[in-house]
Amino acid sequence: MRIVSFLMLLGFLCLAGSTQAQADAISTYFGQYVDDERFTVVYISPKMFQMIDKLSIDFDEESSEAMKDVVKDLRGLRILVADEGAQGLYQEAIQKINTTEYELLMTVRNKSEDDMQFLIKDEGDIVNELLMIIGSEDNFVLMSFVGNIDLEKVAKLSESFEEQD
Amino acid sequence: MNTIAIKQLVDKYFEGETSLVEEQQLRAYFKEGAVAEELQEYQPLFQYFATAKREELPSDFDERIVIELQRPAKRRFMRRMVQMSSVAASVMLMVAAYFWYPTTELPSTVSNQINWEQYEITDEEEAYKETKAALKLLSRNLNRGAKKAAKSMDKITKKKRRIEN
Repeated sequence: MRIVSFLMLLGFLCLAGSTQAQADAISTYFGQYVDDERFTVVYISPKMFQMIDKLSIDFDEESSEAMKDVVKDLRGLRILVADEGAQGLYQEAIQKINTTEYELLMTVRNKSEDDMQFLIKDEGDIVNELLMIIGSEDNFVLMSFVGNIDLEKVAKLSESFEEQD
Repeated sequence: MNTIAIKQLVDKYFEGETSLVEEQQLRAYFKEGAVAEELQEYQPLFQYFATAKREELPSDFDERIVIELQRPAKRRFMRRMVQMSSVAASVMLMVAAYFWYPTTELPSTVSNQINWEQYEITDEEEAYKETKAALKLLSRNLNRGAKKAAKSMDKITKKKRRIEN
């Protein structure tokens, strides 16, 4: 009996730990930015994604099936944008992230173009969160996509956009 | 009784097929002491049965059994104490670890209180458009990064080939 109750306690503690770890990157590392005046904040809740999925999107006739397919698996979107101090913010951001929790997918650094970093949090083959950090001359963008993210599908999206443009 | 008959009886005894009378005969034979050499190995066994039958409970049996019963109770208490304290110790360890470990993740507990709702987009169409724009940016940048990586890989392999040739 005692062993059983002890195991239950252990499991409970683990559960408590894991729910805490499930917070998205912006909540975890950039909490203080959210209430910062310099930032524009956008948040789309899991509930909203459910609604969008149910309505099967009639607002936008151009939107391709590929797009719907990606949106369907999203569970949350958080965007932070700042117009000032972009380079400083970018440097701060890429140092803040705990690289044991988030895996660096790609870094792009180029003199003429924006600096970018893509980070993912995955569990096996499934990417649970994708974080994009962009630091250009006058823009700092943080985007966190939460859900079941298929990188291949996302990458293919731009093809369908180019067809439209 | 001759040795051969006894031997047969012994064999029968070990097969469990002797009658009570026959067993009595066996015991009597081994008790007498004039045991044939080949049967001497069985002597202690049958003698033991004979003496064990005569054994009686000592007069202080009741007292002794009460004492014996009391002793394990004490021991059981001690064992329980040891178990309890080891469980308590491991729980303490876990609690300690829980408070010790996440010094770097401490912001997450604070940031869990971020009120995302005030930034939430509550209009489906707008939410969808925002998502689409975000995905567009993400997809483009992912491809740009990948293309750049592919290009530089190309350059590297070309250079390598030149060196090799």
